[in-house]
Amino acid sequence: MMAMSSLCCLLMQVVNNIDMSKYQRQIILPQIGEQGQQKLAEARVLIIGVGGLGCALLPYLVASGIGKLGIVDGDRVDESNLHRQILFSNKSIGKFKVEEAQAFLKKQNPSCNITVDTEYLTGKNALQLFEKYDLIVDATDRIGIRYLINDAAVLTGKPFVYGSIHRFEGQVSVFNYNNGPTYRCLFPEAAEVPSCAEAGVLGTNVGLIGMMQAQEVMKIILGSGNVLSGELLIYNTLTASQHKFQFSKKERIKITQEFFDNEYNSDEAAPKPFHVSLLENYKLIDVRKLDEQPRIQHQNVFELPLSTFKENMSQLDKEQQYLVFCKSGIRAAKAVLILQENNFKDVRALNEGADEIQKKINSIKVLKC
Amino acid sequence: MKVTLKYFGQLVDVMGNHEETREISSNNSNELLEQMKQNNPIGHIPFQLAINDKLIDQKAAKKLNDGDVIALLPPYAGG
Repeated sequence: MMAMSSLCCLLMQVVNNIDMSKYQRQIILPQIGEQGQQKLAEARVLIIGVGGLGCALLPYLVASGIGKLGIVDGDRVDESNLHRQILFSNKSIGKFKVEEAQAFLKKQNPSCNITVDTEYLTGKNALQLFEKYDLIVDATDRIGIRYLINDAAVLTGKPFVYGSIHRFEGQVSVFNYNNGPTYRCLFPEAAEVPSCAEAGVLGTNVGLIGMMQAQEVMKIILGSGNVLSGELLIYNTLTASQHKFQFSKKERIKITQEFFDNEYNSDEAAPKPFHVSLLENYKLIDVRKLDEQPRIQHQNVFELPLSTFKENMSQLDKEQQYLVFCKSGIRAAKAVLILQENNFKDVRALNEGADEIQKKINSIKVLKC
Repeated sequence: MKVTLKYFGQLVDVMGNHEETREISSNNSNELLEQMKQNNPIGHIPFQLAINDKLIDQKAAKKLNDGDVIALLPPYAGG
């Protein structure tokens, strides 16, 4: 038996001989060695989002010799991404981010198996996708999707590496690691907070935080160092200072398949992606406060702030199809619930916030010009 | 007694500072938060509270001691 397993080991080393020499500089680290390199080669990592964080961490994960990477993002490259999303060039504008990233990374390390998905992560695809990987990296820029990642990670028993930024500060943590605390233990409820588009972002800042996430991925795969489980690290890139905060596991809600389906898979609740053509058949309801920018000027857009929504709802027609939006989707989801409780037939929230809706409307105007 | 307050994320802009030391009259974490919300426009910003680097459950009031460091931690969304 021993002889057979030694023979297998020897064969594996021979098979991987070329790769092993490629990674020789990291293999000589006592924390890695050939065994560690083998762990990297066998690791399967799923990255959600190829924005600033994803672009920073992906090349290092690919270069390290991780065997299989999955990348999920339905977004396309925009000119305003290029100052920080360093896998893309001017030629990438308008193309799917995941496909552009794949082309870049394939050249970097052809031995890494990279699978891409041009869809956004949803309640429908998350569990099936997570099952195929050992660990998940959250490189998204929306709070709502983070709860979906969290809950899918809990249900499939996968750890997930979290990173997010606000201007010159970044947060990093690892959730659901060895059944440890989750994102819901840290922030129990979804809240509305500014994204990069609203708050501003510098490429080096988001790059640093992405790199910290990549390092947590390495530690988890290699089993070295102290994984940031139960700890929130906040790094300030302007003051070069960092703080760590401890938090513990608190099961405020039980995440079951039933909870997951109610939360993310009930058709009535599923937000719809915005397209300008929807303005022809649907009426849109903007539930933001009246002083929030940008205002969407269109004959089919109604402004009914959530704070006075119930009082003004009588202006709406229960037979009409409505799509509701706000800044991040949280207030829109609340308004949808109110309308459904009041027997409105066809009401859904929009995936996008006002910024993206405005951008899409503007891009059509430009094309028509 | 004196406590140090540390602000993060959006709270830095609203409070105008990363950190300040304050003389407080109450030794109850909830009362301190209520006072802060009354005196500063932070009611719309979600955050968690950490005392001496440990997150606490905001629903249960905690006793504060002289020299405590209280951090207000909002979630971030950018990436």
